[in-house]
This record gives sequence, C-alpha cells and structure tokens, in this order.
Amino acid sequence: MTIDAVYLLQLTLNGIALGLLYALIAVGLSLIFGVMEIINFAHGELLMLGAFAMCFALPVMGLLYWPAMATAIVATMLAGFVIYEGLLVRLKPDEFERSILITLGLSIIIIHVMQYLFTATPRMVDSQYGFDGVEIGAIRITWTRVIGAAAAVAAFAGLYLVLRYTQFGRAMRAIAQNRDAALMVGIRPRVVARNAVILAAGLCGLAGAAISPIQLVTPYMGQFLIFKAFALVIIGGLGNIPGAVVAAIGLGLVESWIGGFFEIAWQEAAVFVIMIAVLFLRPDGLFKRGGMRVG
Amino acid sequence: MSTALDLVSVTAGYGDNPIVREFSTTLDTGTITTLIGGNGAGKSTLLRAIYGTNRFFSGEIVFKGERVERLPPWERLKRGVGFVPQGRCNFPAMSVEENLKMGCYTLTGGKHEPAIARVIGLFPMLRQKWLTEAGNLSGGEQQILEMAMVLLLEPSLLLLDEPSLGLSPRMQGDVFTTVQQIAATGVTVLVVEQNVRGALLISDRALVMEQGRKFMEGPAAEVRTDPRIRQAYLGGNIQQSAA
Repeated sequence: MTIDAVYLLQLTLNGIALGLLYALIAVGLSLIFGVMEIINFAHGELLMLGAFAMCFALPVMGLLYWPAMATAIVATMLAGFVIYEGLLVRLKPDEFERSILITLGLSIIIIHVMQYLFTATPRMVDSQYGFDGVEIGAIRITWTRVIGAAAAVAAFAGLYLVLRYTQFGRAMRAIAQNRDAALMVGIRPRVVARNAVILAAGLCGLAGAAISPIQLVTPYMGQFLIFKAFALVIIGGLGNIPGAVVAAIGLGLVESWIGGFFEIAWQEAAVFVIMIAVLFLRPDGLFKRGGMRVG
Repeated sequence: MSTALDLVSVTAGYGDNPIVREFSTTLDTGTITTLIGGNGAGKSTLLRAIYGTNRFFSGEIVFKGERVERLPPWERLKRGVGFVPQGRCNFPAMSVEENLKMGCYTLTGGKHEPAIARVIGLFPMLRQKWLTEAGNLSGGEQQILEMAMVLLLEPSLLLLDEPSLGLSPRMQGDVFTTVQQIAATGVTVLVVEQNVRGALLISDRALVMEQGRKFMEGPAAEVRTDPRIRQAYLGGNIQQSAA
C-alpha cells in the first residue's frame, strides 16, 4: 500500500480536529467525575442539545456563527444546571451505581423527548462560513473545522487557567483530591459540584455547536459518544484532565487514519480495541491517575 | 473564665449508627483539653460531630452561646470552629502555596496575603517548601501544613485529630509546643491524641471516652495520675517514674 503524503496530512488534520471535539466531551466527563465521583452518562446528550441549539439559533441570528455558538453554550449550561439541581444534587459521593442508572435513564429520556419534539430526521446546519475553506497546497479544510478546532483549543486554555489560578477552579481540584480537606477549608461540595456540571455542560455545548455544521444533527448523535468519552477518560487515567485530552486527540487521529486507510467499519471498533488493550497492559490508564491534575 | 463550647447530651455517628452517645462537657476559653479513649471509642466521631461532618442524632452543641448542631461545616467554620481531621488531610497534588490559598477559601481576596504571611510567621518551614506538592512533604510537614491551613481563618476553637500520628518523637514535641503556643493566644483546643502522655502534659483538662460515652473528666494532672488511666493508656511502669 502506498501512502499519499497529502492524503495522510489531510487525514491527520481532520483527526486532530475530531480529537479536539472528543476532548471537550471527555474533559467535562472527567471534571464531573473528579468532583462528584460519578460518570454522567447523559453527557453525550448535552452535546446533542448544544448541536440542536446551534441548529435553531443560526437562522435566528442571520447565520452568524459566533452569536449562535454563544447561545448554544448558554443553553447547554442551563440544561446542565437543571440536570444538576433536578437529579444529580440528590446523589451522594458513594452512590456510583445509582448515578449510572439515573444518568443513563436521563440520556434515553432526553433522546426520545428530542425525537418527539423535532423528529429523527437529520438536519443540515448552514452557517455564515457555509462550506468555504482554507487551501494549503493540495489540502483543503473547511472554515467550520478550523474554527471548531480553534475554539476547542481556546476552551482548553481557558479551562487550564480557571483550574490552575482561580479559587473557583482550584476548589474543583481540591474536592477531587481530598473531600475531607475540602470540608476542612470550608468548601461547599454542592456549590462546587454544580459549578463543575455547568462548566462541563458548557464544554459539551461548545463541542455540539462546533460539530453541527460539520456533521448531521440528530437526536442520536450523542448516544455513542458517551461510551467513547468514557473510554477516553479511563485510558487517560481516571480524573487526569491532560491525560483525557491527549487520549482524545490520539483517538481522533486513530479514527481518522483507520477510516482513511481501512474499511470504515473498523473506525468505531478501534477505540474499544485500544481501550481493552490499554486496560490489560496498564490497568490505571496511560497516565497518572486521579487528583485532577492540570499540569 | 468564659465557656467556648458546651456539649449537651450529644449523640452522633454515621448512617443509622450512633457511636457517640449522650456526651456532655464544657470547654473553657483558651484551654487545651485532651480526649482519650481506646480504638473505636468515638473520639474522632465526637470531633466530627462538633464540626458537623457526620450524622447528628440528638443533643445540643453550643458554640459561643449559639446552637450550631444543625449548621453545615462551612457555617461553623465561619463562626470560628476549625477542624484538622486525622492523617494527611491536605490536597496532595497541589503545592504548599496552593494548599494555603485553598485554606483561604472562605476569606475575601484582600485577606489572603496577610493571613498567609501570618501562618508563615508561625511555621517558617512552609516558606522553604513553597512549591513542593503537599503529597511529597514528610508526615510532620503535612501535619504542620494542615494546621496552618485551618489557622489561616483564626478559629477560636481548634479541633485536632491525632496531630502527632506517625511523627518522630522530636516532631511530636514540636507539634505539642505549637499547640501550646496557639492556645496561649486565646484559642480553645480540643485534641485527640494517641500520645496520651505527651498530650496530657500540655493539657489543662482531659476527657476519657469509652464505648461512645464519657468515662471520666477532670484536670489533666488528675487524670494523668488516676490508676485506671495509667493502667489502660499510659502503660503503668514508665509513667510511675515520670509522675
């Protein structure tokens, strides 16, 4: 098999863009796990809600990309707030099993309510950038991909600064590292958990808004994403945020390469083959586990 | 002498299990009280009940004239109750600097620097380990850090759970000296200690717990010489020569 360098580069760039979007989901999942010790299986649905919000906001905003994206992010943060105050606030840190069933149930409910309201027909989303793109030599990338990737990178930079340098973000790391010590210094776990869920929902909203002009929007688009994101969080070392980002970009690349060079069917299986292999070789994931390390 | 803390028939525990039962006592302002008892006697449970991190069943906790038994921990902290739980209660993947900043969590921004400068004055060691992750400090250093994190808020009642656990005898001495210094500034201290002898030597009063109930209470010097206490907690012979 001869590999065309331009084709490979194209796949690589696409893979990085895809990986950054996976990373947004995985990081939010990791954040919620760190603070609440639960896995939010309705996380993919937050992305779907963000994509739908983008889909409805764009025509209203005259196809302007940025205001529509801001609307989508605020809408999912609001959804995150409602999910937290309605359901998650009732979970105690040791109720992992209950959290799985509740968030999994919630995910299925959201999917079907969305299907009832907006039908399962896939929607195409058009923005001010349309299908325009940037051409570098023989490679062409649409602006929506470039912007999506750039927004994701900016979000990670912002998240890093918040977690590293603000009391707001530091409190999230504090709870992840030692719950008793967090109480000792007067942190209110529920307030911090709520903030973490809203922040994670915002990242999903960003991902959903960025993805909607790239792929079709349906109520099911988040369904399998959660399992991938969960796998990424485990591969990256549970609670390790940079680990999850690296694993996510790695996955984006692997998927893109496999999709480009092999039968497309292998693409979806690849992440789980890798996950199982990693779990056998390094049971705690590729990177140091826990503590919600940011650097 | 004014009363810092009044416990009236406190029953507390975890889940559906009361561990401490009908415990009553009074702590005077600025005194050091040692809480003695065997494993599982309920010493830590009592401290947690005073701070509010476990299940409270019945009774009254009166702090500076106010009933606090139904308040969450952060509200008690705001009123001046500081609690350093047992063993490595810090943020291990954060630097000393970040741990101290976390200790300032309930303070407004402008008060962080003076508060941190003040505890560094008390514990200059923290300055030398400024960028070290707390998890990489020695056991004694971690204990000092944890006390510093709570002292940032200038509590008027300090609850210490096994501050000398796992420390070398010299470090234990340092911790006791520090506790004495803190009490000398008017802070009321209630300390649970496995080093009963060392703790009694710096204490004004002693409380003895057995199976969740108060077994004995009195001036530290009296409790130290009580034959039952010497037999059970002080290992008889060694203590006779010291006493």
